[in-house]
Amino acid sequence: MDRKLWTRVFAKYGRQEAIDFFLKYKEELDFDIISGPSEGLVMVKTREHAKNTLFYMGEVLITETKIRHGSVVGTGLVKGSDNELSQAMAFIDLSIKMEQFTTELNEILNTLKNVEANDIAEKTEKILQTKVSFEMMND
Amino acid sequence: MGYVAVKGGAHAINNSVLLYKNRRLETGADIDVENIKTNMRQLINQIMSEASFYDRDTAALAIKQAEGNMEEAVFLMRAHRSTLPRLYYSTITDTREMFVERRVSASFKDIPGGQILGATSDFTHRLLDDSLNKMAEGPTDSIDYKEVQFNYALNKLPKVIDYLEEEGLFVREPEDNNEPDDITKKAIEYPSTRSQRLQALTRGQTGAVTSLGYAEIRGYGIASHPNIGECRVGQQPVHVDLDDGYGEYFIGDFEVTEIDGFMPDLDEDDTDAGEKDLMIKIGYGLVFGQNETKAIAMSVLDYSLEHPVPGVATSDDEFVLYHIDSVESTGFISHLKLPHYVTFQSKLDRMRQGKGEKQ
Repeated sequence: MDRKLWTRVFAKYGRQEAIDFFLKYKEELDFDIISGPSEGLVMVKTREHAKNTLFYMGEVLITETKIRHGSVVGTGLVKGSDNELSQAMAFIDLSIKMEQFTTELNEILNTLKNVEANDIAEKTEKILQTKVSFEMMND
Repeated sequence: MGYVAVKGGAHAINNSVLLYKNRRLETGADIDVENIKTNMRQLINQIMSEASFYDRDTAALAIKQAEGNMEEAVFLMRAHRSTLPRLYYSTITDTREMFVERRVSASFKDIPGGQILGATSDFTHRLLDDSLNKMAEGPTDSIDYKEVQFNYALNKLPKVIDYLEEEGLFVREPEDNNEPDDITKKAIEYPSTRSQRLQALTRGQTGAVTSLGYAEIRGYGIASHPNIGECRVGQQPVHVDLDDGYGEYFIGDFEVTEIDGFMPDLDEDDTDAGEKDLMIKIGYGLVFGQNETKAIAMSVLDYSLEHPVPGVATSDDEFVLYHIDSVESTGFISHLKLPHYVTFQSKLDRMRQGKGEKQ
């Protein structure tokens, strides 16, 4: 499962779904808490386009949770202060690594991907209402 | 007099703090932090940018505690940030992946993807709106929807410099992947590096960055204003790599403003005899939140520091970078009002001694 995709979809569109999943399945997969949930920072490294170099533009607040089953570690990283989502994301990360609840997760993800697609379409349509039509300015 | 008492103020100080804390609620009702977050979006943007710390909830709380005092709110944010561990560095973010909510060019009318005004106060009348005295339930005016032709995705919008590059008017530098310096870990040493300059500028105080940028183009530096090739505002995805073999981890989208300021300049690589060709060079601005004026001014100062004019203050990295930081500049200026009895007494003693010697 593509981590870049599932983390984005759950973080942006499936907060409640992630928490519900965690609450539903947390008794079915043994895990120990390594750390968290606790707040910390991510320094954002950025490429600028004048000289194509890198610089640090500042830090963002995150909440991190780490859990483990044996030697497998599940990590929950979320924007801002959000203990519940961070724990749920750690559990999902662990589940994916251990190939547990795959059908259930795929089902939730497919629904959320549709929510994402609709949201992007809706936002795009709204933003494009501010696109300047120079042809129309001559009317 | 050789000694001045500096102890004994605890009672007065404690009560001063109480008066300050109580004053906020003496004339009206308390305000919810959530309300600040919703209604003071632009103030939050400025504070997050100057604090170099992105979190809207923390910024809203800082605004409430500081009673809306910008410098105090930034100080609170920086202080809070210093209590948190830095857990990760992001993978390289690139604004080409930004979900664009606003994108305009002042240099070209027809740019690939078009001019997208987004949400802006640029076209509003600067007349006070009496209707805001009443509480609104939600957005009052609905958008007038029309069919719009658009062949791009807003998170893959081409940049205006790509268009210039195709015409041979802008030369893209090869990617430089050297690790940037971090001025929060190691103080700037002069002459500064490019990464130090950009980091200092992006976290600079909005007013200071704007004023110095204005001085630079008004007549104290390049004395010519840039053309804004592209101003884009949108949601920038940020990822980290946990090095566990499972790929990048999405952290979230963060609102940023980016400016490519175009400056016509001589092509230093032009080896032909005679006059050198003119090329477009870029001054770069990138800041947290929707802070367009600051981002433009940052691009002006980036250019002026990269292409210094001898003897000009705004081309002097030490002058610019040492003085634009909110906490450093406001902290130093405001500390002047705090007791300096001993140092002033020593000055007085010297003056009195001098007078005595003359008499």
